[in-house]
Amino acid sequence: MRLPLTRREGIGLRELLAVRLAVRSMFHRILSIALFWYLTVQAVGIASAAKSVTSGGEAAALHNKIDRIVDSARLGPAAEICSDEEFLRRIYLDLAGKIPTREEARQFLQDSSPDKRAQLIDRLLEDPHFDRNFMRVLDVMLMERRIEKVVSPGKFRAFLRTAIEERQPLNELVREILIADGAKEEERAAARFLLDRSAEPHILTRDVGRLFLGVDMQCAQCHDHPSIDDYLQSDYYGIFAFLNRTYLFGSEKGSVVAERAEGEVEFVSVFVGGDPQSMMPHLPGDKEMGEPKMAQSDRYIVAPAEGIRPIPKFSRRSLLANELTSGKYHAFQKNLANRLWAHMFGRGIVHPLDFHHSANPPTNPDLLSLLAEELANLDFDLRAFLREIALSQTYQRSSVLPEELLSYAQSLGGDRQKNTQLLKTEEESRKAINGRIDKNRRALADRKDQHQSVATQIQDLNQQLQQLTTSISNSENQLHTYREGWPALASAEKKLRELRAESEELYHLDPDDKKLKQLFQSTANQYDLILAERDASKAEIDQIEAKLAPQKEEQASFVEKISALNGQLSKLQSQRRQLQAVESELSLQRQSQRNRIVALQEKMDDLDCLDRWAKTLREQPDDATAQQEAQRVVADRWRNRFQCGHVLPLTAEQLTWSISEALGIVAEREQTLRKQMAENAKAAEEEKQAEANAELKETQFVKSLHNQIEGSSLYDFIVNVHDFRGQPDGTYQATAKEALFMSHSKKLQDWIAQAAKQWVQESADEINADQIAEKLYLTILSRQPDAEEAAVVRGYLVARAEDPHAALQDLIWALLSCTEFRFQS
Amino acid sequence: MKKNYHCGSSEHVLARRSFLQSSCVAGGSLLLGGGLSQLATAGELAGGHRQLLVIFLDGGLSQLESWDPKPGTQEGGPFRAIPTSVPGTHISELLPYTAQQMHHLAVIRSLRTTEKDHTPAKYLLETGRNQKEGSDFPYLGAAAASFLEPTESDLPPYVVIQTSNYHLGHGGFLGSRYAGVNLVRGQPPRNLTPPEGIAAEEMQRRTQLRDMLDQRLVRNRRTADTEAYASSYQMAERMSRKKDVFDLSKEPEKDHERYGTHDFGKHCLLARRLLEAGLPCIQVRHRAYDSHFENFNIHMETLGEFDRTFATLMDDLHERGLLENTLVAVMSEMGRTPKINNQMGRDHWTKAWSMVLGGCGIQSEAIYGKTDDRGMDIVEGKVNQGDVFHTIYSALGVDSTESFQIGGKDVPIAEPVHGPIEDLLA
Repeated sequence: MRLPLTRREGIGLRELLAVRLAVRSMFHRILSIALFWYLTVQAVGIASAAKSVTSGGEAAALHNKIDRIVDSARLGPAAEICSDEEFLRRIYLDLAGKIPTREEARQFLQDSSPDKRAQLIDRLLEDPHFDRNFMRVLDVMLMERRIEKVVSPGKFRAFLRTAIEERQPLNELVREILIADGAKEEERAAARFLLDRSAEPHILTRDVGRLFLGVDMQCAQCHDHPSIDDYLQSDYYGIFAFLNRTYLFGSEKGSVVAERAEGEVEFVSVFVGGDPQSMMPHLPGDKEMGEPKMAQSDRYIVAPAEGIRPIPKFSRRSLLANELTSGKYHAFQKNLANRLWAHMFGRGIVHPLDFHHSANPPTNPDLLSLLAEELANLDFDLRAFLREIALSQTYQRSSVLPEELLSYAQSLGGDRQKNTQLLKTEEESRKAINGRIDKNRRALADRKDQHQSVATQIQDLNQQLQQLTTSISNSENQLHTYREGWPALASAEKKLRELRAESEELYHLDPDDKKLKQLFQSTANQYDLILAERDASKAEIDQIEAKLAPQKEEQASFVEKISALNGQLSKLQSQRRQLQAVESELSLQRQSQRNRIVALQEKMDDLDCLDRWAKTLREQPDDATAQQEAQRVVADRWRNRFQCGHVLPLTAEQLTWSISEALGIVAEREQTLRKQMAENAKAAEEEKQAEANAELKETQFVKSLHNQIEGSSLYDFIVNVHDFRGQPDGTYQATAKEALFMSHSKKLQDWIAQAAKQWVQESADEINADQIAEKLYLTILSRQPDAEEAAVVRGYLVARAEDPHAALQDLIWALLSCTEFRFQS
Repeated sequence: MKKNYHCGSSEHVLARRSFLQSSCVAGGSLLLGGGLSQLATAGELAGGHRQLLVIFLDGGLSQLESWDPKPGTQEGGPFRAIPTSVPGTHISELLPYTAQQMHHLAVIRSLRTTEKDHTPAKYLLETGRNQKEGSDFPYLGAAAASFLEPTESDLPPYVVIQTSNYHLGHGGFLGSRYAGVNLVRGQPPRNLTPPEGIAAEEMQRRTQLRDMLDQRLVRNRRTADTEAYASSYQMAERMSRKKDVFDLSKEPEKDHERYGTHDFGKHCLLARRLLEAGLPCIQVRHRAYDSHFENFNIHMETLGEFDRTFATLMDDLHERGLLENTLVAVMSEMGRTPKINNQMGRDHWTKAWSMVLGGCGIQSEAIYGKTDDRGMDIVEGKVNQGDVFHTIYSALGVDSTESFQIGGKDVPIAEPVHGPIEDLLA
């Protein structure tokens, strides 16, 4: 733990001390070092600590908390807050799923109010384009562009759109799609999630894991994941057990989801083998759940029969839907928060989004925990959550690397040493924690052994006691029998004695009478017999009584012993519970420590990349490619730290809408549709029909407009940009196919020609080059051209003055196909 | 505790750290770029510029009417076996021209697979993997293209030549970059040339203008994706310029006749043309082998079309020296039952069937594996699609034990529990 403080440079030392101050233990050590240094440094440390306390009040808004957490993990400088132009395009694409119109862009850029960004965020969250955009986003997220099997994707999207419009909390939305069985017409759309996955329990298990918990446990179907500690086969089958009774009922498009009331889950590891383990439903990391015990005849609302869809009284799948989305299961909101974050940043805090595990921890665990917690606190309100993200400085960072980064890269020494030292400390503390865990485990094992041995003793004693008790009770039964027989024996003896005396008397009266003699003899014999019997009985009674006394004593002692041992047992049990609590506390510590180590290692990697960049500049001053390459690596890493904005390709949907908007297709369709509506309204009025709700009409109008734009062109774009439907998103690859489409597609060229024609018409008598340049840039790239760009446009228009229409087409195409349009930055 | 066992697949390994490090070294593309180019280098080192031609006989070719005839048995059907250019090797008399090309080919007669329905069986034989929900494997051609594509090329890395509009040649997790460009009935790819009314010089002017304006974002926000985007336009331009490559009318009339005027003839001629132009991976499909009824008539007809065209193609590839660097595979999704059903048909069969490989890296004239006298079971050398895929990759100079890195996960190139059939490798 000792630090060679004297050798450190000022800045490194200061930061180091700030960290140390938190640990407090440094205070005393610092005292022994140079007084001057100590005073200055401590003052700085305390000041910053105090600041973080005051700004860490409970009431702080989420966006501030986000910034603070990102800032505390910051390495070197962060990118500047982006320009209005950058922000405008970014927020439109993220929230509205398209670029702004020229007018919207102009207004925002001219607006001088200080809170115009917040205003814009709020306006976009209420815009119908938000509903449409997130309908698509959630559709791709939940269905991953799966083709139609049972329910039409359009129907599902309409369902999502309504949910978004009606502000249904996201957890409830998930709950609904997991429960919907599609039996009722109004639930059919929601049931696409299950139906179009054929309601197959293994498919559902995997996708519940991937989409709602951020874990891809496919490998854990057959055995514990060989390289990922936390993906357990028992967890896979825990989820599976919620779904194993669910199945597809009926055929083709008429299918519905059904569930049985029976069916247990057992599994065997293909590696370990052994007896099958049975598994009750549970979410990963949670306890196995019970279910109500019901008689077989009592389990169904509708009993299964040939051609009848059974409905169980107790549905395991509904249990899953409820447990998962209750807000109490942290992993659910973590995954959701991560996915929404990834929508806004183009990258998850855990990435890949479905690969959350201890060897691939979140890049910023505190940030993810915060977001997860707050998402639940915000009642899973999509808009409220995105609003906070959008308001954060982290979201509003420029995608250009900060200028100071290079000078930082060239002077890494301090941070490097600091980081190395921190890593070393963490490694040591890991050893310590592992040591404690081992010790604890040993103690636990020891208690377990003791517990076992005491339990065995108790068992033995109980067995003996039982034998003894049986024997006592047998004896007592015997005794009882003897004692019960005694009065009869005694009175018989008495009677026989009297009979014998009488018959003896008679015999003595006439000793020659043979009959009397016989009578006397037989009576005497009988008396002897009964006497013997009586004596024997007496002896038995004595004997049994003699045996019983010590047995009872022994019994008492057994009971005493057992109770003593039971005392011991419960003491051991409470010790075990304590040790188990310590163990789970320690594993939590180890987990967060692992995260810290991974984070530090990442930091080291980041520093290495910075170093390499600085080195390339130093050692290869003439190799521009190598320098660019090194810088690009740094930029990628800085973006993944969320210290710099991302540069992202537009999705097929964003591209469709943005092109349609830029080329005036949206405006044109809107106009036509409005005209149509007005005519319809007029016709309706003439026919004296009741006036429809104006608001409803507007909603319908917006929807038909959206459908028209998407219906006419979206498919072409998806095929050309994403190539195949059904391909999971997130892996953009530029293809010649797309470039050919952009360059040569007849439809696109027609649109461009049409737009150019309209522009020529709009500019009335004279083509004003500067106005055209501004219009082009505002319309297509949502910003003003700089002087250089305006000059190029001017020059081109002059060069092709003979055909302004053709010149405009060229300019429009060039801007539509340029990198700046294709990407979001 | 880390589990010490291993299920034989490295699909599990997320070497996050080493992956980040290597991407840090290789240039920051967190997806494919780095990993693939490294592997591709290995492939290139092994054997120069190699190409792949898959001829896929859709529906399930009967092994008994082709590569593994059993004349004179109850199951053998009416056709004889004929000698070939390889002494001792006999194939069905339905393939007289192909018989004369057998010295360029190797036959596997001991293939056993598991999928009996067309869709999963096709997935199995097209990708080398069982179809599992959620897994998204690329077609052989797309996967191979990711290794075989040259650094500079005017052509797409993979094309599928077929008669249907149904899109084939899935790029799977490799994405659209390697997905097959579909050439339907010998037509060029979509949007290859500017629409009418836009002259070539107009396009050139536009491109120049675009290059001039396309500076701002690229200047200080360059990423692997933006670079790839910029180069995709260059690629499109080159393809467009090279549109003649896709133009079959440029082939001499004589060759059209030699190959046959039917679709398969055109398709094979186009394949030759594209191979000559250096396109890395091609699949040509031939249809209608699913002979549940009238198996013998169907095979007489389809193989009649196939035989002469295929033999012509093999001959040409050899003559032109293309076979030295081109691997040719003739495959189906399954074989057909030895038992002849009561409609003179043969049904789906996966227990013991055949396929053919030839060209670069393949031991020509080899016959691998053996079925019993009636073709009911494998007697010797049982292999499956996993072994075949390893063999194909090995012949192409690709180390099939390596993995793709997909979104941070390692996905083995071919099923790790299998390996190449050494006897078939040259």
